[in-house]
Parts: sequence; structure tokens; C-alpha cells
Amino acid sequence: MKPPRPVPKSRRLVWVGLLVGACVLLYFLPPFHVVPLEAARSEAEAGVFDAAAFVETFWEDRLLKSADSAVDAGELLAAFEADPTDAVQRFGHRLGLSGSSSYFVSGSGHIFEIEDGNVTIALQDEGGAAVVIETGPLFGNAVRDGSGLLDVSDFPNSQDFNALSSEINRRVEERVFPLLRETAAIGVAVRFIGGVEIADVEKDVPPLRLVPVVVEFP
Amino acid sequence: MNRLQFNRKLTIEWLAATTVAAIVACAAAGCSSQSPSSSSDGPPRVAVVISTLNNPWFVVLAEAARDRATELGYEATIFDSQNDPAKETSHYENIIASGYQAILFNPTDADGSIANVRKAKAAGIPVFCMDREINATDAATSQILSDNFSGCVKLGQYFVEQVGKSGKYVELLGLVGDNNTWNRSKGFHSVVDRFPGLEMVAQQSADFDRAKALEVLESILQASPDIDAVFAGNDAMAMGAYQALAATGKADKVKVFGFDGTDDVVKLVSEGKIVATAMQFPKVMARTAAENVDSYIQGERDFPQKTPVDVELVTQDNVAQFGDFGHKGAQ
Repeated sequence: MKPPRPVPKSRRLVWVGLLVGACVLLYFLPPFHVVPLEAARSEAEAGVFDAAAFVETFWEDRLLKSADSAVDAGELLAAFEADPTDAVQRFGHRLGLSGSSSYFVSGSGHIFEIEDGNVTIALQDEGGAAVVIETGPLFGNAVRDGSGLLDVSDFPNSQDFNALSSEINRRVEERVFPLLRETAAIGVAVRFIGGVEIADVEKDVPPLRLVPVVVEFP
Repeated sequence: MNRLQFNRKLTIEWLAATTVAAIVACAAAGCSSQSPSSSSDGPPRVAVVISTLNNPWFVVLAEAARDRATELGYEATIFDSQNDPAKETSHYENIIASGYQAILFNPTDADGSIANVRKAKAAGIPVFCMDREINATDAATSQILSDNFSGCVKLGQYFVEQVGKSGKYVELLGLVGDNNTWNRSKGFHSVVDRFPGLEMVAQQSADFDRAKALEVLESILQASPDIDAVFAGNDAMAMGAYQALAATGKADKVKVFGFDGTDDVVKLVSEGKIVATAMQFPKVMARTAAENVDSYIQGERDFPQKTPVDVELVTQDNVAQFGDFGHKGAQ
């Protein structure tokens, strides 16, 4: 029987070099990381979009400060009457390839009618119903899209963008409607700012169905 | 062993070692530098990668994308991912290696598909998402998406009108990894949950699949036979639900609501068998995405990352306006 041949020194060096290389590689590019469970959970929660916090900041820092950009309700209604297509182009915001359009509107007038939770407002110096505020559960994207301040492309997950509408609507129900319900009475003067969403400008106006951001009784 | 033999062996070992090291280093660094070579002759090629062709709605989406790309002068090939992210990845590898110019993409998973899109982007192949989104805004060139949430808000409002403010209902969810599933569900619940009298007795996934919906609802009906309505996250599941209800003699009592606007469900809406669906516009989405591909190849680079497409409610009152996966008479 032949004795085992000794491994040449240079060959051993090759394997040692490879081993060291692999160790260095694994050190800098580890295949997995061990982290405490609590830290992993906090990290996952930190990545969750907080629609309420976003809307809180958006409402105070951007939405209310953009009141000057709102189109006057009387001007918008006149524009719809003159040329609906032109009115959409001048004052409206469309979300992607959408048939409906949204507007940020302001105005003042007096309360003309209150029925089934719907508050109807006649504009200054005009007699008829021009703006209706439905004070029941709110749905839709009138404020989010009407403001023209938020872009869906800024949100990696569109569920987050949609959550904004729910949160804005919740805020209107909680913070704007109580004052309106409490104070509204026929003949009372009112000033308003809010969003309007119109599915079909040829059929659905007037009146403007407003989701209010601000309601004031001067 | 003589010196010459020993040196040759050493050289082979060094070559093997450096090759292994290079492969390991390259893999670790995520090398994927296959350059996209266009096919030498013939029109430029566009891949249409679709989550599944086992659903007529996606067949329409795929064929509309392929046909519009063909009209615009491209050779378009459809790849079916069969709702399997692994198959989708394999399609991407083939597409990247085969020199396609662009990908029209309907992902299987909003998170899981991002890696494929990034891989294509790194290889210089732009990706244009259709109908379903990926949860990233820096990977795809553009995303043309149904506004599922708003569509289901409208559907939810109609659901309350038709079912009333109290009753029991079942929700059939689509694929749980797909954002559309949750956008639809959340849009629906943003309305229906405001009415405490409406009780959801079961919420189960049937993977957007008709046969699975049939099975799932049959099983739910054994535990909850007295439901008033079913909200299905797509029309295929609405068809499966209707089939299960018809088989148990409940089709006249339980109101079914779908989502998609497929021809068979639009027909059932007109016959009063399904109460409502929501029309998505797959042809509009596919054609717009294919036109974006053409614009990109012509040099355009400024695309909105996400373009939502309006969804419209289809009921017995307006069903005459709809057909062929859109408005009647529209292209």
C-alpha cells in the first residue's frame, strides 16, 4: 500500500486563500441578518402609511392655505352654463383617464333650505339653490382630487392614496359637520370652501354638491 | 510527478478558483448586465406578460395590448404567468435574454413583481404596467391602473341602496397579494361598514377564479344559509357565486354584485340575475399602455408614473350603454 502523498504547500495556500475570500465576502454581504423580534416588528410598523398623520399635516399646512386658489362658486356655475368643456379645462382636475372632474370651490350666500340633512345654499344676490351640502356619511374624493394638491404618482401603493380620501371625509364629518348642523337655519349667512366632484358636467350641475373644508357663519 | 505536470495542475486550480470567485462576487453584486439587443431583422419586439389567461377579462387585456402594439408596428408576444410569480420571473429572464424592446405588464404580485421590473429596467427594457400596480414608483416607466377603490365606493353605495341598511352578506376576495383585491374591498367597506346593520358573515379569498368561488360559496352556504347578498371582487367570482346560488335554489333571493364588466356578467345584469357590476375598461388601459410603449421607443421619456382609469357602475338602469368590455360603440 502506497503512503498518502503530502498536499503541496502552494495548493494549501490556494484553499486557504479561497476560504479567507469567502469569509470576507460573507462578512460584507451576509446572506441573512439576525434582529430582535421587537425591532423587526417596529420596523414593519414604521413602514405602514399613516393616513391620519398625513391628513393632519396636509389639512393645516396645505389645504387651508390654498383657499385663495379656490374658484368662486358663482363663477364656476356661470362657466358651466356658458361652456361645460371649457369650464372643466379651466377649473377642473381629472384623475388620470377619468370622465369625472373635481373642483376646489369657495363662496358665500345664505341658507335657502334644510331637508333630510341636506343644507342648500343660495349665493349672494341670487335666489335659487346653487350649492348643496349633504351632511350624511361622506364618500368619494371631492376634496382630495378637487384641491389639485395631491398626485397619485407620489404614492407607491395606491391603497395609501385612497386611504387619504377616507381620512379627509372622516375629518369633515367630525370637524365641519357638527358646526353646520348646530348653526344652520334658513336665512342664515354662510361662507364656505370645499371640494366638488362632478361625474357628468352636462347633466349634474347645478347645483354644486360640496364637501366642505371650511364653513363659517359671519 | 515532474515539475511541468505540477505547474499545469496549479494553473488549472488557480483558474478554477478565480472563476468560482468571480461568479460568487458577480452574483453577490447582482450582476445583470445583459444588454438588450433588438432582433436584427423584422419589427421590434414587445412582450405582453399577463398574470393569467385563465380569466376572460385578462385575455381581453392581453389581446388588446398585443393588437394595439401590432397596429403600431411591433411584433407582440403574449406570456401567461398563470398567477405564478415563479413563472413570471422565468418569463422575464427569457424576455431579457431574447432582446425584447419593451414589456407590457400585468403583474401577479404588487410586491413580488417589483424585482422582475427592476431586472428588466437594469437591462434597459422599459416596463409599462396595465391594470395592476407594483408598489414602487421608480421601477416601471408608467402604470395605467383601474381606479378600483372609487369604483367600489360607487358599488358599495348601490349595494346599500339595493340590499338595504341591514342584512347578511358574504365577500369573496381576489388574490390576496394583489393591490386591486384590497382597493376593491376597502372601497366597498368604506361605504358598507358605515351601516352597522349590514353584517358580513364570511370573507374568503377565491383567487379571482370562478370555480374556486363556486366551491367557496357552496361551503359558506352550509354554515350560513340565510344570506342576503354576495359581493364578489371580480365578475368571474360573481359568476361562480351565482352558479352556487342557482344550484341551491337561492339565486332569486340573494343579490350578487360583481366587478369588471365582463360580457357574461353584463348580460346577467340586463337579465336581472346579477344586480350590478363595475365596468373597468381593459381595452382603454391596454391600448394606452401600448401607445406609451410606442411613444417611449420614439424618444418620449416624460410619463406620469400612475394613471388611474375611471370605473363605472353598471346596473339594470344603464346596462344598455355597456358591452364588449367598455361603452358600446367605443373602440
